[in-house]
Amino acid sequence: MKNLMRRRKFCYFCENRISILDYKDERLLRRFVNERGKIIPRRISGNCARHQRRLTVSIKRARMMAFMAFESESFR
Amino acid sequence: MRTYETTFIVNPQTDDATIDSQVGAISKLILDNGGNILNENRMGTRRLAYPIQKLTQGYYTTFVYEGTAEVISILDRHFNLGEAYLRHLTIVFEGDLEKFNPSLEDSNDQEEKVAPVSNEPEVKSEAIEEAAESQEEEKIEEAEPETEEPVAETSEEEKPKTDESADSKEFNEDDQL
Repeated sequence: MKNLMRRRKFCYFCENRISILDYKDERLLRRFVNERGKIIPRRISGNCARHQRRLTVSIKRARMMAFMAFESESFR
Repeated sequence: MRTYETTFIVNPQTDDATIDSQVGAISKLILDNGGNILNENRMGTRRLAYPIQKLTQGYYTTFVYEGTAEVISILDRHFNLGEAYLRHLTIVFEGDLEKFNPSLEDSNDQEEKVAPVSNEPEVKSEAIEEAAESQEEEKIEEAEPETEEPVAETSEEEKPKTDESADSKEFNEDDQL
């Protein structure tokens, strides 16, 4: 989280040249979800529009397949 | 023919032979309906993020395969009828096909007449285009943040937002620390 906050302007996926998001990669997706399991908005995560769009789809898929929780009181 | 990726969860509270047969049934269905399996990835038993049918663990398997749309509906039907399958999800495969290249090349060499090669370059070129686009975007952003982005929304709209977000981020940072 701290990394994302520090360099606010950069989209994590652009920075790391990740063009294809995999919903099975739960460890990656988990960075973009808060403690309750909610998707972190672009305004805070600094992701670009394109990658945020793909990210939300991936997170929702991950939820359907029980890789991630829909919501949780104590996440992580 | 398109490349699809199907992931499904099987009830792990049975013996290995049953799980094997349930996974095997899927691969058989794909093959029987003219599909071509490129990759089978058994992730094995994992903890589910939330209980499904009162189970806390599930046996995950992913197939990457070429096939027609009919295969998908047949698989869907099979998944819905079989009680052992907790969840299933089929998406158009968008990952790196080169990962499975050895198997691809082998199959192409062996059955060049049967396997259409046309699928492969299409997908690859798309990926390349995408990569190029994202590179362009980056360059533009680095050079001049004020220039309008060619793809998405106008940067004018975004500009004030980023300023705001800068503030809110700082707040958030404080909050979290």
